[in-house]
Amino acid sequence: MKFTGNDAAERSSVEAVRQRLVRYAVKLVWNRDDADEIVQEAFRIALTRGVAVTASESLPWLLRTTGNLCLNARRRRRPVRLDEAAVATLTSPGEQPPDAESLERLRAAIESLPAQQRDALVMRAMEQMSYEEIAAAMELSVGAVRAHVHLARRALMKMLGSNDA
Amino acid sequence: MHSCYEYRERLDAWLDGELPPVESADLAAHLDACGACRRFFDDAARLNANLARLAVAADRIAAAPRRVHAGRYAAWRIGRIAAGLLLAASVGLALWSARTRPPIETPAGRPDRVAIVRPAEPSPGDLLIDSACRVETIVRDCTPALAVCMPSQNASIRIVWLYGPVSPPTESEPSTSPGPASRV
Ligand SMILES: [Zn+2]
Repeated sequence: MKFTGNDAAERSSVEAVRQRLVRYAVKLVWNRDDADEIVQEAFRIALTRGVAVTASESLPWLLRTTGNLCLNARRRRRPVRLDEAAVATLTSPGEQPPDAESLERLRAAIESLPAQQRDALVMRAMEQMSYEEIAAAMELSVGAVRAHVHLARRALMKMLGSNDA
Repeated sequence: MHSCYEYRERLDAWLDGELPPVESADLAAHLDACGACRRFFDDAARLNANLARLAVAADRIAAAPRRVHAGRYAAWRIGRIAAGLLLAASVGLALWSARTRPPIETPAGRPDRVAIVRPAEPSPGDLLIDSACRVETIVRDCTPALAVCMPSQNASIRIVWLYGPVSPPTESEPSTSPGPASRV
């Protein structure tokens, strides 16, 4: 590693990577403090193993490690409640807003998915990553990722009461 | 023409907009004729929209200013007072002011600079804070660490938020090693 800590561009790119990982971790543990600590731990492991956190080829490793730490951590703290007021602001004008209850049910359903299905779905449908990027992060083939995402969607539809899923 | 099963297998390609025009038209014709598949695809679209809303909610949580817990804040204050006294004694200056607010409490107090520091940094006199907001020590010996440097209210003190101690790689971390095999 050739980090000096003196280069402003380097510092801001580390911060950008950190924020990206925190956004991903929040989607898995739904608690900001846990997410912050998990990402710090991922950085610590990266440092001890000589993984260059700012290198773009390290992102799959960082996402995978963050995901594994989220899985290991489970929930140390209570997830943040999604209240009605906050949920109402998630909808564009003219749209029928979902009730907070249904988003909470969705969140619980995601959590009950098998780990690989959940990770693949979160990366695809919530992080908007490409199948190729997800495959690199999960060390799976693109075909396997597609299968996990598909199974996850079908399982969620079934859990959330779609009669035809 | 396909079976309902085959159409539903194309759910993801449909949601991702990956269906070729011909197949898309074929699917649309089937949905016109098949109420069950129409409900299935409607449900899938609603699910996708709600996943996107959840993502927005999560990103807001991730972007919110960091909260400081009361317990940690108290520990921080005690540590800061001790550190301030130490510094004041050694440098002979009054470094502590009751009016100064801890930088981590300010709305803009999220660490704004991340540095990977060399043995030359942090420098003696810096205040080291660990990831749980405890004031660790005033720097004497420095080791390489991933740290966030924050300006303090007092120009002579730079606060360094350590992401964690750097220890040599050990074999005791298999549970955090990446890869599907480590998933349980
Ligand atoms: Zn059909």
